[in-house]
Amino acid sequence: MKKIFAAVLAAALLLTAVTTASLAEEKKVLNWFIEGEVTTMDSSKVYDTLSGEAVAYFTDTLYRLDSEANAVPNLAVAEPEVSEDGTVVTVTIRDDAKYADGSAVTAYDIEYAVKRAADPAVGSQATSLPAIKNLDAVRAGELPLDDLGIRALSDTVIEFTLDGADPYIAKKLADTIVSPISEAFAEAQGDQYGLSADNLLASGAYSLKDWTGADIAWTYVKNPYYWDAENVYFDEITIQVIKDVATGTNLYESGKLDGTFLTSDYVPLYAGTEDLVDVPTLRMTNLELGISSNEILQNENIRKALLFALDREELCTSVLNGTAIPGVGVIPDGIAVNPETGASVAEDFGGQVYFDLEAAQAYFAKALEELGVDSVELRLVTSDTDENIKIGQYLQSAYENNLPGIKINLANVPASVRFEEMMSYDFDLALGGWTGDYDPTSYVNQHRSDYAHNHSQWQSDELSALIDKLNTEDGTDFAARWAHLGEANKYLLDNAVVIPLEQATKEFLVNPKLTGYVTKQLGYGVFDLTRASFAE
Amino acid sequence: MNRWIKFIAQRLLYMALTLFIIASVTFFLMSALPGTPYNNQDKLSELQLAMLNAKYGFDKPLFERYVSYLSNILHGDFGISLQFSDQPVASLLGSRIGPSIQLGLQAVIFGTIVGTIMGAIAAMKQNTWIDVFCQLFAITGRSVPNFVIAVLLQFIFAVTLKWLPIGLWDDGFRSSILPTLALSISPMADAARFIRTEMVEVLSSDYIELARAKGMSDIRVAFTHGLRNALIPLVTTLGPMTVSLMTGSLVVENIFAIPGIGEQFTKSILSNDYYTIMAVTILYSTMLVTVIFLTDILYQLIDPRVRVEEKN
Repeated sequence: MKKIFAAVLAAALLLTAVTTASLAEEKKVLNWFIEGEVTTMDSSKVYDTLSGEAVAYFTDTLYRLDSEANAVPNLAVAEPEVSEDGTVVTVTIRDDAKYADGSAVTAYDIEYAVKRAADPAVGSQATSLPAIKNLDAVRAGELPLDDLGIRALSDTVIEFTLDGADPYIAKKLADTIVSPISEAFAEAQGDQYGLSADNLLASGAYSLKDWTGADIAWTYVKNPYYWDAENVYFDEITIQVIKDVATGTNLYESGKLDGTFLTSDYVPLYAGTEDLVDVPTLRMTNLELGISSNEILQNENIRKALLFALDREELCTSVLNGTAIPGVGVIPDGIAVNPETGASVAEDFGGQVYFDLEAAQAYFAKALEELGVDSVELRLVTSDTDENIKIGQYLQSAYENNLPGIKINLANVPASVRFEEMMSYDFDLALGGWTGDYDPTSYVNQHRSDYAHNHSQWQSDELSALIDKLNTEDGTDFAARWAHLGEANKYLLDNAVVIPLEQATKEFLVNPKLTGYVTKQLGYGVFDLTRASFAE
Repeated sequence: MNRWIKFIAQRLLYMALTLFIIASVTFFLMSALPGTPYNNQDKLSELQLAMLNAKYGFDKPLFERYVSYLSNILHGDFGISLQFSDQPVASLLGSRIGPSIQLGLQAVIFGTIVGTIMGAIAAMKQNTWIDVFCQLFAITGRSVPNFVIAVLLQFIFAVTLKWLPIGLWDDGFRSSILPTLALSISPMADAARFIRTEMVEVLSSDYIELARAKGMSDIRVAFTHGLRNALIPLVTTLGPMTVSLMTGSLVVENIFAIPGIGEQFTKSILSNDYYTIMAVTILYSTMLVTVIFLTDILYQLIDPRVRVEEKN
């Protein structure tokens, strides 16, 4: 009896202790979501949006992107210093930065991290490293790691040597792949580094907790040693993997989540509410043409007919419920601006892609005459996701209605099969696209004659010469670079090498109380919540 | 006793052989899949691809990979995942199989018990409205996909009535109720259908007539004599059903945000995650042959007609 009494008393005491403790200090918690498991939490290996976003909570970057996509100093104390020829970039970092165990962050840790990402023994799939000198040779194992163009000059100064000038270098240095990794810590973990929360050391605003490799829920806790800890509001951010949009919205509505993602069929339900947040992406969805493998498509007029016979506005509003904006060209809007005037891609390069039924039909009639046939049949391969199937069906009906005499056969296949067809350059039409990161060049470079992803196998010395200029002499002459980008874009549209369709946007529900977060169009991940807070 | 040892030894040998054939066929089929196992393949340069292939040993001849693969498995090494970069496949699957097994078992147990009762009642009340209702339920349960049921259950019991959590795996047993219900519909429907058919047949057989003639009540006849015999065919279907439920359901797990293994089965194939494909295939087939083996033994015990012959 005595024992039972003692136990009850102890339990009661414990309960009081727990309740008083929780009353004393209300923890500030944000309940957030992510759309899938992360493939890695190792900043050297990140190659996808979800991992990029997840890693950024606990990994401090030299620069941060603000809502206008400007790179602002973060771990770095100022803008990068760039040499006259643009190839040597020097960055000074703060001397008060610390890891979550209290040890100091130094420039040597950045050198270590970048070398690690290039090390063939580590085998990173990441493609986000800037074009650092000797990167390819080091990756191929032809040169030792020490020949990589990165060097810490002191505890606070890091120097990058690039292959060529890079106008977007500050933005690329906002990527977590150039974030510090404590060498002592990483070497102590060996093979296990990054495989679970215990094998990671945070340098950022938060530390990772309760993640073991393939979890669907984990937590970030505030890093008390973070140099900017006073501006970090939440004590804890819990993350829940949400894959089903209905579950996400139900949890959001019930207050269990402060944010979730939407798909196009859910967007109309929340149109006009203050919860709806719309973020444009850099994903260009294009109709790609198998010019080398299909003789019909070698006719320029048929390609132009395909370019002008589509009402992209209708595609974006009726088919995609406003989750996309019409493509303005090969280069998406928002990736960069005119360095002199600040004009957008749409303003400077727009007006070349539009719906003109009469012109399209005239081109088509001319093409049929030149080909000596009265009808053509093309196969359109798309991935078998809902959205791709919908776009494919729209293209089929739009082309068959607008260009009488054309027949489009749809083939919905797994993404890897579509990809294989495109990469073997053997297809008629394919619903493809391109997602770049910081530099608009990659969108035109995709069509360069000798590039592996030149799916149409369009051969042009003129275009190659333009792209060469972008990659070399234009690196320091930003005005010329912008003009050449415009020329390359125009060349691709004039010859209708590819048919731009739409630029995707992403829609989310976000607790209207949440402020101070950044939505990003550039780089990995959409939300930067490290400085977010609840409005009181 | 001797016949049992011989029987079991023979079955174990068959099991090993079956697994070996499955592992080999999967390996070669998988190698024929188009594309690379790298999620980032559309961005990788040739050089980086070559580097990664060298790192993971995919540049070696197929047969060499096959041999080293088999020997690794025999040593308990299932390799590393390419989808979740460099995580060991064994710990990856290990960390997620728990919830799937729990849900699968709960669904099978609950579904079978309720289904059996429904089937038995339907058989006893043959051609009444109860029978019609049970049959209608069985047909609906069999034909409506479980994710439709999952969404319905979520909407009714979580969103509208707020009795149970909408999803997430953070509320102990309560979190498992709705997914279990969604998954149990199909074993429930199957059990009801099987039991009804068998019971109708059994109930009209001679020994039941005899039991009735001896003055036993209808319920006692049905449950002591009828049900026991009607259960036998159910045991056969129960095994494979349990395995497929325990290895998770992609959609139901996604709807309730459960850290189960269902997605690994589908996603590993779509993303050419070679080692994970092999590991889930072996996991599934091992569970299946084991369950079939156990079912066979169970048969020996409950059905005198299929006893192992003692050859003299």
